[in-house]
Amino acid sequence: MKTRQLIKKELKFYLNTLTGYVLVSLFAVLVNIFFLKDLFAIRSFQISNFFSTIPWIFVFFIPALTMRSLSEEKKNNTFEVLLSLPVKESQIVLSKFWTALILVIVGLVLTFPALIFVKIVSNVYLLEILSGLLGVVLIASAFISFSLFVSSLTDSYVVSFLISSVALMFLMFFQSSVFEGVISDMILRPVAFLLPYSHYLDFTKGLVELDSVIYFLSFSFVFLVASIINLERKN
Amino acid sequence: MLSFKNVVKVFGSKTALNNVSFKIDKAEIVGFLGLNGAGKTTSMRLSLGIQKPVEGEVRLFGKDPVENRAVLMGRIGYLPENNPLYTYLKVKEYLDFVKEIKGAGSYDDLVAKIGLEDRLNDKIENLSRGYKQRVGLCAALIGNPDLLILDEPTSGLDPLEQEKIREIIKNEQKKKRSVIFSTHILSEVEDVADRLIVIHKGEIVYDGKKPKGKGSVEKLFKKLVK
Repeated sequence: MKTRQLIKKELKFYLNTLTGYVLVSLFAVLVNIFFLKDLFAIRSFQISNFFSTIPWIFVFFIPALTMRSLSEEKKNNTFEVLLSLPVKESQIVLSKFWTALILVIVGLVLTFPALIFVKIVSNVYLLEILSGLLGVVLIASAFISFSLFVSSLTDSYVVSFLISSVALMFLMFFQSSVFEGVISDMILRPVAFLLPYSHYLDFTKGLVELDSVIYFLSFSFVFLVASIINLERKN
Repeated sequence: MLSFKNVVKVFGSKTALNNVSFKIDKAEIVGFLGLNGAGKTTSMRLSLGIQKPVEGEVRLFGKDPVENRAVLMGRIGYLPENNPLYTYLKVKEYLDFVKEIKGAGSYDDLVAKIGLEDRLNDKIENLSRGYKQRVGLCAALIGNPDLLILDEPTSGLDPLEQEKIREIIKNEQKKKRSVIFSTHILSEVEDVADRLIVIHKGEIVYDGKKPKGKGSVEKLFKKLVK
């Protein structure tokens, strides 16, 4: 109940200011541009390409969404106001998490016309689209919880944005072909298994693997708990 | 209601509070005086469980506020220093948020008493400093708290606004509520408080009845912090 009230307050920030509209529209425009690029420039369309692009946009979009979450509350001392109300730190963190996830889902909904169009004109299976969307929501949850954790460490939202983006970019780059031949496969493979993108790729191919679902839920859980513990630490 | 027993608080190498002890009882209005950096705000944050003492014991309604913060805050009204607010919200949206979080009833009477009826649909960022202070105070009073903790509630306000806030504080005592407020305006303590705590360099240097007579608080304060 209290988490719901906190989410309502958080969402009002995005409704009452331009920030939310700009961020969500920008996300939707970027995703749709990548979609149209494949469709009109290459004249072919693979749903897996569409979904594998989205986490790269998340590398900037999610830190931009979460950077103010806890950093700004601390900087403006409104965090002190929150702590003087009967709410737990866990409720505060969860409300920030759900708000960011709701905005990601709103952004995704804005790509639905494109997805429906593809479904009509191509032979893409609906289950492929649904598993891709599930993967997007799961990787978004993981990135949001990680960025929230970073936001809980600093009072500066610029620092929060930069650290989150660079760290997420590193996570994304690490399993790409960039390191193939540079880093031994013996190291690259097990490390890549621990990182989000390799798990996410299954979803883009229409595969919903239980271990990948558990991986993303655990990843999110660990960083949400770390954020809560960090906030509960008293000065 | 609130007690500090030999409380020590240190930030890095600086001792913010040194062996501080005091007690606030029911229906008391206590003026908390001290120079900047004396330890007033730290004491208030410790009272709320937002910060943790290094040594000693803080008890709020008989419980440790750090361990029981989320539960105890339902009985507290707090106006922090500089009155941070969610400026992107409208006044009504903010007060509704506080009401729902506290699980309180209607605040219509409170809004009328504080003089915010005409401002409910204004965005907080567009309000004057005085009105923002009224919003902060109104939020603190929502839910009929047993203890009000006000950190410089009249700071930066014009004399008329100050008078309005003082009247509201004085009225709280009639409702058997306790109020602890910090201020730099010594005449305010003379006007509103019935007890005085003076803190200097992290130590309590006076805890007792407010001295009688015009200008007596100022005289006492200057003597203590010289």
